[in-house]
Amino acid sequence: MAKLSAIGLLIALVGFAIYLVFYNFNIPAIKPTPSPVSGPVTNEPASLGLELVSPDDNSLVFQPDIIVSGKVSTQSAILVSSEDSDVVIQSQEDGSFSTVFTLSSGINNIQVAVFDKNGEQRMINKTVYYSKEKI
Amino acid sequence: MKGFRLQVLGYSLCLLFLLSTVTCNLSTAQAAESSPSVEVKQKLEQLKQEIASKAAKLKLEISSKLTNKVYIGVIKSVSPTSITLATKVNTKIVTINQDTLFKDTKNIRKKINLSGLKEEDYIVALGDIDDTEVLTAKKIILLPQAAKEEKQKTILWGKIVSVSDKLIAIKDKQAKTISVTTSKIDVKFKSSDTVILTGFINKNGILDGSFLYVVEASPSGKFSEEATSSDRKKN
Repeated sequence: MAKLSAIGLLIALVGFAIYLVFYNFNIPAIKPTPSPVSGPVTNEPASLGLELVSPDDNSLVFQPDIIVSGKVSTQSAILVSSEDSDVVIQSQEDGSFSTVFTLSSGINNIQVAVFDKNGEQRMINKTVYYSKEKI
Repeated sequence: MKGFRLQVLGYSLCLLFLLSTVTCNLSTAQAAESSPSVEVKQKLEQLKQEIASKAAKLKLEISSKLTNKVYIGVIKSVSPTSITLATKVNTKIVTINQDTLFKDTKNIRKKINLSGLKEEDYIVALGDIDDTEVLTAKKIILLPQAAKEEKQKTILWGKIVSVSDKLIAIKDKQAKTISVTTSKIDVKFKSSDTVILTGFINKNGILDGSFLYVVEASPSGKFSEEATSSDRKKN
């Protein structure tokens, strides 16, 4: 009887020790690796995208020259246009673009547009007010 | 009796083992907390500095987004302390205080104040906004009514399908043909070129072109006779 008790205790101790080792050393469980996706690619091709970093909409500036910058999804020509001025710039390889744009005094409705080779267009409008005198 | 002793010994061993494990874990954790290494301290300091720098940058960014703003629109209502403005996009509130300056662009010499403004006036309000987008006006500029009807510039992408004296025809993405005057354009172009054009639509529905950029030049085609510059505009 005593022999059986001692064996039972030993098994319990060994079991507990194994649990402690796994718990303290946080041995990760073996997870099955996901199998590579097979079959046709179903994702749509990257669409034409345009993000504008600057200028902010409804901003008031006291200098005629502002920076127009942002990012397009594909390397392309970007048109920056206001009532009195137009400029076309080429984006960098990573799609980023930046140019100095000259404002007219007063309200400037700035349109930034990008086109792909099929004429697909994305456009963002911003209003900037250029005041010659500080307020 | 012997069996009982063995059982007691076994349970005692088990208890000792458990106690020693827990004590060992606790002492290790306490040691780590009470005496962090120099490396950890340095990392913490570095992290603190990074967070402070990012917070300062964020504060500056927010501040720049709230100061020096402009609302342009038509007055919908005027009260002694505020103006409700219908802008192109939505309705905005402009608050007025004793420091607000007023200017009438129609008559610069004429001094105006809040009582000189009425519903349907077209104004520009310059100032700072708060986090609810209410603008505290530093200056209100009264614009002429005609400014309200100012046309939006048209941007056009398409292929030149015909070139004639001071007039070209562009086929756009939807295969729609648009006539464009080219008297203000000094860039060389030819038929079959793919171009970007800007200008204003006149009363005859023709686009008065003011800017042309050749996106893709056609290898052959008739050159414009009006072009004065041999170089295509790049920038």
